[in-house]
Amino acid sequence: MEILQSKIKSEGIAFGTAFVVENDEIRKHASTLIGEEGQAKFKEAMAKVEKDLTKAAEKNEVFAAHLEMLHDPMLEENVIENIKEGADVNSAIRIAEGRITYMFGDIDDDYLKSRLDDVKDVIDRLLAFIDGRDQVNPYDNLPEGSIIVAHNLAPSDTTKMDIGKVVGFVTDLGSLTTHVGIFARYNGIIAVVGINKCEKKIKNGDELILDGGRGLVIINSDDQTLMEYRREAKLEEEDNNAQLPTTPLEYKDRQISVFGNAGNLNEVRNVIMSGADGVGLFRSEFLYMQTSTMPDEDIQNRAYSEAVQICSGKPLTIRLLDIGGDKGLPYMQLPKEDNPFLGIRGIRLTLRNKDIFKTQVRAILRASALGEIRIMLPMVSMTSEITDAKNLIKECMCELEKEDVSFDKNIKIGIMIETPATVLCAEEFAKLVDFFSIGTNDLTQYIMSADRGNAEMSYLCFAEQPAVQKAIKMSIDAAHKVGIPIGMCGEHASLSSATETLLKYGLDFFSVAPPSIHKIKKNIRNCK
Amino acid sequence: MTFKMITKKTKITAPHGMHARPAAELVKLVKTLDPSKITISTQTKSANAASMFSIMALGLKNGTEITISSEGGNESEAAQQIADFIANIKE
Repeated sequence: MEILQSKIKSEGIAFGTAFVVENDEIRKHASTLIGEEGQAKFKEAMAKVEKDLTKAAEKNEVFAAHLEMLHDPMLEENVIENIKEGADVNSAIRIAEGRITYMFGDIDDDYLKSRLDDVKDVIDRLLAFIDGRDQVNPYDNLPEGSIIVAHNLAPSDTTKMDIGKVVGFVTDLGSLTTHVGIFARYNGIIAVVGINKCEKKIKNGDELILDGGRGLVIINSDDQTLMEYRREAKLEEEDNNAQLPTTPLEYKDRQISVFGNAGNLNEVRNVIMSGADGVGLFRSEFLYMQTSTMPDEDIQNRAYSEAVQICSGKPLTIRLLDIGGDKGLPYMQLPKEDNPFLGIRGIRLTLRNKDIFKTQVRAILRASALGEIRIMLPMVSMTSEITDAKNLIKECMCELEKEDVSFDKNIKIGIMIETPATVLCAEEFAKLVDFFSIGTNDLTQYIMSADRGNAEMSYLCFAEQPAVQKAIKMSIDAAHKVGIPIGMCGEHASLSSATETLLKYGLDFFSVAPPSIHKIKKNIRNCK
Repeated sequence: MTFKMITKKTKITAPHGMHARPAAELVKLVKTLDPSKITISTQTKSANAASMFSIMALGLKNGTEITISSEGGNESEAAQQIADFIANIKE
């Protein structure tokens, strides 16, 4: 028996068999390469795909046509042009794809139109190479009950896994607020991160016990230890199965809501089925990611209407489009910035593109006739941004009134507290809105001035830092002084160790990933 | 040497229209021909014959009438070869 210890505590217990993934080096994200590096990467991708297609064409002549498409000037020249104009290689290809798709858009013959699949297939080969998706999948043949042990896990790794077969993650890099931690929490997987050189110390096939609460990985445990952990896990499970009310809980005469976070309609369903009191954070980006052009008002309205109906009477909090900086859209060229996290993000971007803002707000307002919707503004740092946003919302309301479309005239408007500016001047902000929601992930990185994606910064970047705790407390006090409710939708809200402190600070609502809803409700009930 | 432009009208006879495979063959053929610019047009759109995407995006189905224009050396021979090719698409 051997025990490895991490300084980072999570929660839960898992038993499984080690599945060690060798990654020789952390793959550089090729898709974000720009300039000459971007062009070189694109040429490399062209050569690789040409080779693959030439080989495939020997067996099936369809691929000869694909080969011809690959060198079509509309693709090749356009991509190079886009890179020269500042796009990274992934976006450059997507922009070219957008143009080609657009061109096919008005063909009225279904058979010919379906040839667009050929175009997409060729482009996907290029993107697969650039995003590193074309390599052999190391997660093929994953046995049931696996614990993935790796130096680091990127989004491209987790999408390759059959997640039903994974019970745990052990990594060297990463933290609870980076992809590994968040992905694990949303999928009910136990993660122990920060185990130095774990991929060298653990061998494939080792029997592991993960003890998230203590940050331990126990390798090939003895029978005594195993039995103790089995007992502990059983108690935890019984506790988790206890019935809890699906309405707000009482704590010292206050009503505390536990909402869920959702990134698409399925997750909204999960949130409601997990017994939450509503959706506290509905990330609207998914609507913009799954189309090749800006989604129009009707497409958005259908999604919001469905979401609010799933909520069946419980509130749905929609965060307005939060892109920019590191999160782009394939069909929207954003300027390259040196410090994207300090650049044109969230409301800074949508206030500059009023059409985008108003299209989304109109779609939301129309859905608000069907149930309680709340609007949440991301990345606010000046009170004038709220005034501007409210004016645009008013404009939308006037338009809808003229068009005789019904909507909720008293729709609640709130902001994310994620910039230090909103904390320091919280009272002024509170006077302008109906609620606050603290986004601890970004707030922490901005307060600590530490990139949350940089593993070397993980010792700075967590919400237990005194400065972050002080910011949380200040925001809560300011909100209550003005008389508006305040919640938290960042990852910190889903930590069991934080529930009691947050309640004592006076937090009014929590918004957490669906698997944590039950747990947080339980914690609140136990905090009497 | 002066370049002139030749135009030739024809009709798509291929049962499934100009789909990926014939379009690819056509682009290959265009690349072997002399003229510096060959364009295929319908009543509403026109396409550079050296770009498969442009040709496919014309949405040429059975019965569509097209005009082949060719300029920049050996124009008439090129236009004829393309017309022949299009007439011979069987699939």
